Amino acid sequence: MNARVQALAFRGWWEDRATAAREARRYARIFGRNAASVAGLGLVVAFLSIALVGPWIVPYPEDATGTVHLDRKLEAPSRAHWFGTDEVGDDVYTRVVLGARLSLQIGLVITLVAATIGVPLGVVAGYVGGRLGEGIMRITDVFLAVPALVLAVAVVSALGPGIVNAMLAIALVWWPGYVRLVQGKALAISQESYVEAARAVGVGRLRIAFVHLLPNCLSPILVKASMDMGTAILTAASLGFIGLGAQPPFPEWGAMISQPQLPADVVVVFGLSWPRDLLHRAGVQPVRRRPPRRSRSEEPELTQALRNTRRSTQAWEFGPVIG
Amino acid sequence: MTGYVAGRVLALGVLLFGLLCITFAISHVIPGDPARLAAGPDASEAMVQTLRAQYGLDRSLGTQFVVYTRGLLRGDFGLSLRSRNTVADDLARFFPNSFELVTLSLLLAVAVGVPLGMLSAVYRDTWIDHGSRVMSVSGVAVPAFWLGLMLQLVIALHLGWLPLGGRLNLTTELPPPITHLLLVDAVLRGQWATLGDGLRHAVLPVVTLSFPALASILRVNRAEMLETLHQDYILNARAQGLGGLRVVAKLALRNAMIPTLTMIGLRYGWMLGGTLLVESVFDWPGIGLYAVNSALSSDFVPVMGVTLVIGFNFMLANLLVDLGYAWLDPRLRRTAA
Repeated sequence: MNARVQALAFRGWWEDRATAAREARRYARIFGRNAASVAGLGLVVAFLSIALVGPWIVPYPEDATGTVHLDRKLEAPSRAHWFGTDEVGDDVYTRVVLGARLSLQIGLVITLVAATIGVPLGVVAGYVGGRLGEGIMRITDVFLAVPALVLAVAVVSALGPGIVNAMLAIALVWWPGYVRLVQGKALAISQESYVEAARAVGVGRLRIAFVHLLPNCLSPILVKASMDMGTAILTAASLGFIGLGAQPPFPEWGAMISQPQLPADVVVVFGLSWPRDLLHRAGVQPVRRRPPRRSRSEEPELTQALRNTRRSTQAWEFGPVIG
Repeated sequence: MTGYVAGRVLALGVLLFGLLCITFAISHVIPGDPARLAAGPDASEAMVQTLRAQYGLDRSLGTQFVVYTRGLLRGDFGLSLRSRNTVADDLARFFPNSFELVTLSLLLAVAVGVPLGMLSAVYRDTWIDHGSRVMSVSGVAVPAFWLGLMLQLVIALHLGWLPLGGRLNLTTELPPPITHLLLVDAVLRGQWATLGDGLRHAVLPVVTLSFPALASILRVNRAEMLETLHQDYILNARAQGLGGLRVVAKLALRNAMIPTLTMIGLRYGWMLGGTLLVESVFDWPGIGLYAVNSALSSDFVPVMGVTLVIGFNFMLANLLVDLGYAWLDPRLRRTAA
């Protein structure tokens, strides 16, 4: 008898797996049919591999550490220096490649810190509610009512410039988006019958919030986090560009682009423009669950969000302000 | 309707108070010792003490907050730690420049974005549509400062068509102020040479600042138009014999404009944030450049002033958008009142 039950359970498990695999294949097929999605994926993979193997493929790894070669400063692109050299003679190609790794880390850290602050607050605001929840949401509203870049600059002006402070500042102004997102989701889920069932058998409020609600909020959080990576990187680059973020020997793209020299700069500049695009694609394209063009309007999420935005302070859908 | 407006204005007041708390926290709590920061690294202990007393930093946080709030209500944004100018005077000097930049950019973004979005929806999948979609994707993907640098490099440096940056040429005559908006004053005083020079300096920054806004206004308007054009009442109007463009412009556009209006309001605020980057690139003497330069010298008092001004403007824009909603869509007026 026992063995029979086990066998049945195994079959059920196996069939579930098979269904999941079929789903995945179907999804891959739909994804593959859309040229923009595939191109986006390709760019993301390229960017990730550059970031991954960067330190081993660059010709002058020491040039990212603040070395000075005045004998070869401001050279035009050549076979020895593909992108030329900057004003202290460092190889621009090396610094651009290593910058990819740095940018990825910056984006990851900012998004992680912001989500770590915002997600628990959102769960509490959505599920526990009451005065505490109300208070959390009002604070969130205030943060969302000021352009993120401005607030980040304000925080950096008090902390002092530097890459760590810049990342901290951006994370400090980034979390409200997660509160807003998670609060809505948690509020919706708390009406589900399994939450009620958990409550009925006497599960504590905190346990319900973090064991039952939180895992079910994960997918929109991940979607938002992946989309935020690109904007977070760009905001950090913006701070670097105006001189408040990473400081010169650090191979950060925004800081590099602001160094006033031409023509080597042009190349750095081109290097900066594409990862933003691909990260944008990385965020936007793969999360499209249905093939584009089937729906009447092509941006259902955006349009819907806008329609729901009666209170126009709910700006999280669009990320922060980059001009 | 009155109740609706009053509620919105009240909400604005609450948000403003919240923003004030944030700027207070940033300027009085985060930096370990603002007085030492202001005095510089080589200052003696006595100097730091004097500064501390001068700025009221030796009092309790509660007292400081009351003083801070009372000052702001009187329009006193404090003294710059470096230049010792009153921040309010500096803001009054720089804000009109930013206001002109942002207004021109928003006008450009709306004037190009809305019609392009409309055309793109009406002529779907034609070259107009493809072209404008390429534009909207690149508008989201290209960082503002990169676009600005590229425009400087190609149009100002290589082609020499427009000046690299700044507000006016050094030799250009300044109009005596009436509204403090340079271009408007130039028109009012009839100084056409100044107007021309001012406009030439404005082209590149305006294009740079408006591009991302243009792209997103275009996207939203296109998506909304596509949806609206499929509605039954449009079909009905067509069946009754109304002509093509009339239906599109009078019936569909008005409904499609509601989400577009939200986007325009949001974008106005974001543009104010974008001035920090664009004004740095083009050396435009506005509050963005003022904030950046102050932040670079660890002078956070002006930065707080700029944050408050930008935040207030952003909230005001959102308020106007909410009211504009009620005007465009009578259904909202009834439910909200």
